[in-house]
Amino acid sequence: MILAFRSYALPILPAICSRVLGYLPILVFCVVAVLFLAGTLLAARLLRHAGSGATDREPYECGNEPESFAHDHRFSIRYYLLAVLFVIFDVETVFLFPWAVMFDQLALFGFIEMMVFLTILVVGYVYVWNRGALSWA
Amino acid sequence: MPAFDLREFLLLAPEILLAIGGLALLLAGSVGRGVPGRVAASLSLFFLVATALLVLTVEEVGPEPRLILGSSFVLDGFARFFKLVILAGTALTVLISVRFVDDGAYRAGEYHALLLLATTGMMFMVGGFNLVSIWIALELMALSSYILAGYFKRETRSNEAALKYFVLGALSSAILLYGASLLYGATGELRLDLLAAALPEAMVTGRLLVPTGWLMLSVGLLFKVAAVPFHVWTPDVYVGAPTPVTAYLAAASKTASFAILVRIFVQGLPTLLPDWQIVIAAVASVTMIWGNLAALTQTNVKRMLAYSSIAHAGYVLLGLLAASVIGLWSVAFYLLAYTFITLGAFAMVVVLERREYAGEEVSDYAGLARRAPWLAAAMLVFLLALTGIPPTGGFVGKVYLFAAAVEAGWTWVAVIGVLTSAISLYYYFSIAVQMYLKESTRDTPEPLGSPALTAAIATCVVATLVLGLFPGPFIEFAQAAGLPLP
Amino acid sequence: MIELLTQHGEAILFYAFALAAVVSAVGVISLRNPMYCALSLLVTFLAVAALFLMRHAELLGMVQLFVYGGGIMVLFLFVIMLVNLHRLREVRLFNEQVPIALVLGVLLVALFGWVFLSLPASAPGDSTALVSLDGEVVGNAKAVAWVLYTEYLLPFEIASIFLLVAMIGAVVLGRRD
Repeated sequence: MILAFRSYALPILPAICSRVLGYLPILVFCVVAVLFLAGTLLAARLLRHAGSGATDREPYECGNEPESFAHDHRFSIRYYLLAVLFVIFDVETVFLFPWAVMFDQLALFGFIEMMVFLTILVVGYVYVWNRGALSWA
Repeated sequence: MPAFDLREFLLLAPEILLAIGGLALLLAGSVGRGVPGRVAASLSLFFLVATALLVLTVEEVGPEPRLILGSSFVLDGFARFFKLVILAGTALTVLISVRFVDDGAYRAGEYHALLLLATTGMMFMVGGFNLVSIWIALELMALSSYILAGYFKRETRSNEAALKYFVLGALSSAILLYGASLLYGATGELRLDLLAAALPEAMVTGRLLVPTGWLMLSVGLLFKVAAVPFHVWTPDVYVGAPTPVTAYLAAASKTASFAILVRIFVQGLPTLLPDWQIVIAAVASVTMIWGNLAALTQTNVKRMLAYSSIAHAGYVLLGLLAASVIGLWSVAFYLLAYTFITLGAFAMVVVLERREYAGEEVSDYAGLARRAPWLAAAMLVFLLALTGIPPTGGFVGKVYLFAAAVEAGWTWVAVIGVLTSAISLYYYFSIAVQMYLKESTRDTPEPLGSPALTAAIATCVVATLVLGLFPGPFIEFAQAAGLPLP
Repeated sequence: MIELLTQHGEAILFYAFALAAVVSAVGVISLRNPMYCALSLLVTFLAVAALFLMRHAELLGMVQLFVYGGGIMVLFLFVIMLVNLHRLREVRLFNEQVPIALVLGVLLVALFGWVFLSLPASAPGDSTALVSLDGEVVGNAKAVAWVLYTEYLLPFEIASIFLLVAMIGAVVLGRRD
């Protein structure tokens, strides 16, 4: 059956979409990741003891008793602020990638242009820093 | 090395200066306790005046529009006119917000920085010649406006205003962009003049892509000018936002949005003129009727002014409907007059406003004529102008808008305009009745002015009266804001 | 069967990814558990990135993965963390406007289907325009980079001011003072 597959499919596969086949390693990667995940969970399932008491459901705190419930805590909004700032600087980074690829053709003009872009965002960074949004998070 | 004429950057000096001003205010306002309100206001006024001077002097704008920087922007009389109107509107907003942002926990540095950056976005918008440039500048203005609307973050109404404005604004921007992408898919062009040239063929090869594209584009644009049925955000946002921000939205934001609406429709979609005329006629009629009828029952002055600004958007659409030379400059003239009138009216609201949103009811104007006769007279001028009664700029503007519509053959829409203007008399004059015929009680708030506020109101009154009594030079100025018509 | 696969391979892949995107998008708004909604959103992002990659827009596909899959997903997860999940169970998921919304949604889908089906059927055009610069094939990233940093220079700079305003908004609205 494997021989049949090889004789039928292999000559045809490149014709499907040679470009798509370029992403085949990614598909292999995903499959391996899923198998890894499934494998570890399966192994854990097979190896753990069959307990379902109340103690098993408590959150793990390195052997200590949990002091309070997680849902009682109000998380600080500073975490969210950091996530928003991360997205903004992520977009800035994304703009840097194509510029870097064409760096030599864009020469001095492109360099100054990108420096203006970065300067405006550095102004924003200084503002965020001065307002204390980056501390105590 | 890309081939660019670096001197073209000098033509952008006004916008660059304004952006630098915004950045400077931002940095100044971030250190320590921030900048005091008066200092921030003075700085932003300085930058606004300098930018206006640069707009006037940067290039001699001839009859031919000048494309710059790869044709994403254009310098013509249209752009220059609207830039000046927007700068005037922002300057007045700065004046009426001096007291508002200073007393309280809300910092002035960022407020004025956001105002200046929003204005920079508007200036790029009205100068944009490419759907992408217009859209990104529109987004800059819109994002700054969302934050400004929610600036009073301790007040629930401000949060509500920001959230509603943001969600609906983002949705309409997405629809606008999708429509633009459909048009690009059909024609392969984003530049307005090339788009116009490619449209006739695209309408054949693209089948239904072109109608869907421009309909979605117009949905997004009509949202921004608050035309019915895309007006739903306006009352809640205008009421909840801090009043100077409301004034800014009603005046400058609406002016800039109208500018791009007119430019895209006249320069980008001329072959579709019969189609979009029908759509604009329908939208304008419904807007005028709905805006005025809904304002009749309002007791909150800000909400009433919100519905009135919806109705005024309907009047301005008449000029676009005419799609004639007189139509276009009547739009320009009316937006110029409307900026001053609206900012003056909202400045009057600021005068009476207090914490916990007191002082926003019509009944709070009771007896104002006795307590502060000059302020009452100023409000009377604004009310006359909003209704369209001589000798104010509002009357002159409306006359020319209706005349343009009649001349182009859309008489029935002009008739709707006249009838709804008559209806609007009732609710505008309910305020005048309160001011002149009713007595103030102990609960009515005392008018609290300040030098900046008084200067702003005085400027608006003078401008409104001058535009009404001596409109000639201003009509000539508005005629410079012409666009090549199909 | 093999011939079917070869001739229509690209179409099959497109419909597969498009179906995944639509189904997970519906899942985002209809699943009960917020974590499932977030994961569903991630699947949507991945499917859209795959669609971009199929059309030779590699830069856009990678941007999609970085910004959406990386940044926006983190934002959603933080929001889920900040919002108290226990109270969400009592909130009604949909309100009375759902029937009208469904009708309008179906109408819109029908309308757009009509628009796109009215176009003459053709194979997807070749993507040389997306990857070539002045005639020679250089890859999508370089092609986009050239256009972005020369012809669309000013919108690019406006985008930087836009990001700055977003930063201001985050701090102004998010700081607790």
